[in-house]
Amino acid sequence: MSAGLELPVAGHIVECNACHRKTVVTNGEHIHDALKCGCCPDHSSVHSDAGQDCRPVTVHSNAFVSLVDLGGSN
Amino acid sequence: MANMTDQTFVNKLLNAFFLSSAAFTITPGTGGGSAFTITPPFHLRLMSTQGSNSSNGTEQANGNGYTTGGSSLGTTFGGTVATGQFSNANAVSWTATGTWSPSTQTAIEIWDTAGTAIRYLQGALTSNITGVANGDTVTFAAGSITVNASAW
Repeated sequence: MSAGLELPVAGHIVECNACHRKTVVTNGEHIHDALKCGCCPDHSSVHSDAGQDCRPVTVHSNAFVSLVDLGGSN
Repeated sequence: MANMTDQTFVNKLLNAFFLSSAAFTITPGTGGGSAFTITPPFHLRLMSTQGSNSSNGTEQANGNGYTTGGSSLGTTFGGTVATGQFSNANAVSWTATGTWSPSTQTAIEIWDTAGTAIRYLQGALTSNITGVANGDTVTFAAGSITVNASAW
């Protein structure tokens, strides 16, 4: 992992496939906006107004809430 | 009545339901009911709209690297069961071959692979996935999905 980022528990981690910089995606954030590492081969096509976003990326989906909530009144 | 079930029994149920690598049928007793068959492998499906515990969500549209019905969680879905919980034993990934539409995925569901598949589990992502485009990969690492039945 580059850039010495600290990765909190919540949220998905998005990783630039070129330089492997990682950061955490906040809820609703476009995954290509999460990273601005300058590796984007085609940043003009996606969110060019947001700086040099990275694509392609890998989204490491993680830290899910528990899937089963069967406590209730059963 | 929450938390009514002996924890060791919960662990055994999870082991039976989700860690079997072969289909099996639970036959009802003489009191009635219908036989119930569980058919692994289980599949992970991405949802663009979350459902509820009583209704299915809206699955991510087929195409651009995602196939309706989701992808296999492996021969055995879960790892070791402890304290009424387990996590997925295998990674699941999709690599987009085009821009995904709908563009946002909010939840996951876990289904078996019966001829008429049965939904078992559903839950929201801790944060939405938005903006998957050509070349991107969405991956669920082993251990990234926790099934928690400790409140049974």
